[in-house]
Amino acid sequence: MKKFNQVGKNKIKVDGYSLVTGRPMFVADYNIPNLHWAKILYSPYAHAIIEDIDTVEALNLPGVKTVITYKDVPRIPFTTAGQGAPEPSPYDSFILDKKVRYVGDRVAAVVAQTEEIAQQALELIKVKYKILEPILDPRDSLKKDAPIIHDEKEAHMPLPLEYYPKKNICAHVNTEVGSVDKGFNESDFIFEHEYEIHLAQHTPIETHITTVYFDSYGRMIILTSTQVPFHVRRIVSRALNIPVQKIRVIKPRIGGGFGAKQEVLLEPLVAALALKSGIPVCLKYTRKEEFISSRCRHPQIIKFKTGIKKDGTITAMDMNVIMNAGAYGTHGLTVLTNTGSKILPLVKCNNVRFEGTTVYTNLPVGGAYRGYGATEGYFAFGVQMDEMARKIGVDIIKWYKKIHIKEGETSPLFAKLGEGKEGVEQNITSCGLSKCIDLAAKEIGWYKKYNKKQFGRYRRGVGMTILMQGSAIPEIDMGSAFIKMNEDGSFNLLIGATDLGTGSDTILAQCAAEVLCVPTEKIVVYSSDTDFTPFDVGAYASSTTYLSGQAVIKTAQKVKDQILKVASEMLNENIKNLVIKNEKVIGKKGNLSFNEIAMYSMYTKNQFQIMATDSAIVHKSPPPFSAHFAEVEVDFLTGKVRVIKYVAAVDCGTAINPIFAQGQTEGAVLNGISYALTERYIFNKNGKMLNPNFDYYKIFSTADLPELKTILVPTYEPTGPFGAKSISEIGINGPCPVIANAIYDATGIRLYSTPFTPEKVLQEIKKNNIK
Amino acid sequence: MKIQFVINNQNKEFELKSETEILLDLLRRYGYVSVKEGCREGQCGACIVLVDGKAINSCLYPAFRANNKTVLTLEGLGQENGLDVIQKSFLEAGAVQCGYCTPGMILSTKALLDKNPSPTEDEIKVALEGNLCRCTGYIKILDAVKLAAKRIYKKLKV
Amino acid sequence: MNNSKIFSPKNLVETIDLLTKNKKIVPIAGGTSLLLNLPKDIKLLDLQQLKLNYIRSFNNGLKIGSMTTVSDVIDSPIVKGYYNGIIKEASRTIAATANRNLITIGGNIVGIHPWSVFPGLLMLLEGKVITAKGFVFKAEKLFSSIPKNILGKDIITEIQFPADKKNVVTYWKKFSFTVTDYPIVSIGIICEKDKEKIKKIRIVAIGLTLLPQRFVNAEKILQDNKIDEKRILSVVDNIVQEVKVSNDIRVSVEYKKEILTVLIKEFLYKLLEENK
Repeated sequence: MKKFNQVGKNKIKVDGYSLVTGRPMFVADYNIPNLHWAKILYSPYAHAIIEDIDTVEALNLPGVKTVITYKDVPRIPFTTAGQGAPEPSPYDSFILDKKVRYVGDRVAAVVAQTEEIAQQALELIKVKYKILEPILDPRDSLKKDAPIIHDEKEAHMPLPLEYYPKKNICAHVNTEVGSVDKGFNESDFIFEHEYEIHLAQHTPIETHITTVYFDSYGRMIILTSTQVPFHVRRIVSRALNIPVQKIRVIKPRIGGGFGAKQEVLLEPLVAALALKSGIPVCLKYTRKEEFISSRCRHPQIIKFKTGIKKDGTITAMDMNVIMNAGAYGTHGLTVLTNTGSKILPLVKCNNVRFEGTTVYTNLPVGGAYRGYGATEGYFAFGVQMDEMARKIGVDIIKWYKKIHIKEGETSPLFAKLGEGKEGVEQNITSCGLSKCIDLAAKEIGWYKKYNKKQFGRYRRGVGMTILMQGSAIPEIDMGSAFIKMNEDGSFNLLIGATDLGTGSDTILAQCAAEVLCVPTEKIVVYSSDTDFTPFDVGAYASSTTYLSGQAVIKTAQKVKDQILKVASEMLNENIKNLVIKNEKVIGKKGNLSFNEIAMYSMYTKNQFQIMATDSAIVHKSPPPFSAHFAEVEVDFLTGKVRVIKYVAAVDCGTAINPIFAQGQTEGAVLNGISYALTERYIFNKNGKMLNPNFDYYKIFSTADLPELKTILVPTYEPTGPFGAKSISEIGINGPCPVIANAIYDATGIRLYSTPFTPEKVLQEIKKNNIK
Repeated sequence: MKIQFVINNQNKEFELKSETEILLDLLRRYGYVSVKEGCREGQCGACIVLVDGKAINSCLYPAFRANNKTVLTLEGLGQENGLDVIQKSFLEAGAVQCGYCTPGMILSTKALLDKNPSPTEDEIKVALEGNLCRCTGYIKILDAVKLAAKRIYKKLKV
Repeated sequence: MNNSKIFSPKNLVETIDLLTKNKKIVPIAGGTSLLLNLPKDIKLLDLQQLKLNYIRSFNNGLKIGSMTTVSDVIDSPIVKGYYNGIIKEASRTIAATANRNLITIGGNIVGIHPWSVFPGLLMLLEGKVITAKGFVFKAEKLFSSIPKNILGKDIITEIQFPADKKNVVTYWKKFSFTVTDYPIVSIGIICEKDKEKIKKIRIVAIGLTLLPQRFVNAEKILQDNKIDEKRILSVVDNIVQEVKVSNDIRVSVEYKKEILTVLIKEFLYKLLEENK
């Protein structure tokens, strides 16, 4: 394995000191003079038209500055999806609309001196609704006489992609490789089942928050908790018809995102409010608003049909997905295609079909959520593969090791399933999956525990799955960097890339430091400010290390060349004889410190600023691979499932910072475990969420922790920065299938819908009459 | 309404915005912005501060109750000799990702270790069970607490 | 002081006086989200100055001041030694550490919720509730209806637990989805044995309805009898018939009943096993 000086080391986070000392780092910590507060009035109905809205009394309340409704904002449709332009998501949102499409949709907004006054003002707004019939089940969206949720003429798709809002269809894809019909004919066994994966929320501990104010030049400054500052700038510009030039977006530290903040959720509204009021405005979501009125994971109904031969050859895979977009179509196409593209290429099969339809419903809105469709799809895949292995009597571990995609191989699906545009063909150039399987199987004690007949109240079982994800979106996303050198041999690294707690600022500093042969501590990172940092799509698609890392390396390389050139001039030596080592240029005629070189270049002769900038796009999306194993215990009398031990072995190529890589995996896995077991939205019959709080929406605390082991399996991805791929998303996709398979191993019960609540498990135990 | 209490080893006077102001809001207004808001319902622990050495949810605590008490926020740790051993351990163990739950986590840890310098893993889990984190999966946080406990124990022995 | 919303009485006489004289006044004890949604004209009665934070041994029983926090109860060696530490065990099932540092015994009773533990404990251990006006409520009486309604313009000053007996089995078990979650059901049992016979038994459950429930008729089936399989099933049958279960958005009524029976059976079968 290659050895590096900065890369591969557990460097302390560049913002770590500030975070452990409680420095003001988050949006709410900024002291903006004359800051006013905004509050939103939400619809109590799942589907209604605002026939009349009277804001006079609210406006007259002392302390209230502004009240706006759909009448006060431009009627420009846009998407809130934080994606590159033109976004592959329908333009079906308005800052405020005359129609409301789910309980929690926006009706009006108020700006006042305090949040309390703003809240009081909301209660003074009088609204007359015409209630419409809602669609609360995605199976109803496609019915013949279903109400049309997006009947507005302005709704459209900015790209030539299937979009039929009059049929409540937000997206549709259909792609086939080979012929599944032929494949099923060749099979010895056919498995077919329907799987349901549920709605959940990211619950970042910091909710969505945005502050908008104006600087001395009258430019709009948007200080916001976002994963996509540049998309925010562009989309606000569109929604309010303001030139991009007049807007600056700053992302300071944010308190978690997980995809919820890959969304231009608050900014257009807060910008509109700030513009109308002429004063700084802050909107901070309450926890309740975060649950109801932000974004969630797209629920899916997956029909998965596979054909296999007795010898384990998979002859056909047919996946059909109905995805519930909720009231708006943001990410409605790309999460859908990801369900196919991140799963189906994983195992060898010549005949594969993927068809998916995303439908509108009058329910909370699905958006980007770590895993991004793969989480949903892996439940279906991982469970069905387990079923098939048991049926044909093959050792699932041996089987997976045989049929998974290997180095040097490709899948036609990579080209067929893209994200809005055509996908990109690629060969696998690094894959440590078999080793992941072996190491994780050993760690859990697979063969000792698997398939053991159980009796009594508490029964244990083990389950596993294999996974792949992607690293960035090839040919579509771009990142860039700027580096300049300072007198003392330190460097400023300016990057658009967005650190949401993932540590990307540190990772990218390590990459720059590795190229420049300096300690990471010599890199001063500034990121995610649309005025000062060059463009980057932002933090999503597991792209920051793989994509932005390459931009940083290219830039650092250029800077390195300039340093050598100056040194060559200073030493009067051929540049070919110079090497850089430990902040020094070493030549035959002498050595020069970076400090000396910088001083010379800035002040002495032929002065210029040593600096460079470069961009990167990627031409493939090399998947990280992972094997997850778990041991669970099922209580036969209460149905409660307890995860005893969970092992995640992951190949992310080179781990730029191993402790970060482990942390990403551990966080993703635990999120996946509570998603599989305890997290859920409880609705009443009118589409209102009844548990928008941590009291009744349960995420795991330290007290609920199973034993969790992460194993990093290094490989070297030749196209990646120092051999790195990605790691942040893949971990969340394991727990649903793994736990479902372990429950089967322990009890003989197959669960085809998530979450595996105690009540559901107990029902199945009783239904199947398991003794 | 005026109250006074010792905040981070300094006696200070405070003017409440209203008599029913909660401690979370009062502290943030006075610039102690390490105290974070996560749910305003006492469920997430992001707002935890120490009052007379005990971890409490400042979103549930009426500010006037702090009168004549001792309050500790994260800003009050490690001022004299650089970082406190808990802060250092959190940094080194990789227990900080987004950092939003970190102030509450560190203070809950301090309350634990001040009372019980050699906690078992179960005791650590109980002490932190009211501090929710979505980034780390808690593993490195537990590592950090164990590391801090080890260091404190060494110091005490010497 | 006239415009002030907050009153901090120094003694009980002052406290009662304030409660009687003010129409809209609410006592605040420990961790409360009351403050966040307070109606404008309501006044607050701060009980901090009343020195009601104590735990005392008394004739082999306990006296606990109403302003004592759940954490202080858990940490108390006196409580630990009382009835095998059941009060400590039950208290540990309440919320999370930082919450327990604020929640007071009085608050846990007056601000009653289905998950409130102390009403269940008091009912189980035949405790008493003392008020500032000098009333002494037996637990069963106080929890026959919503405590706030019974107390009226009064506050709880102290709870008392009677002398504990030796050779008694005590049991508290919470069933919830996550560790710090509100219980789906929790049960408390106290059982006096005489060799293989159950001399006396009390069975209480919380989490089913707003108020705790005691299963008197089920107790009668076991009282003065040897425990056996038939009797256990009879007890469970009786409980399922008589239990009241309110709606809980998290689970169905049937599931709650099921869990209740599982918890009861778990205890009784354990007793049966120990007899062998």
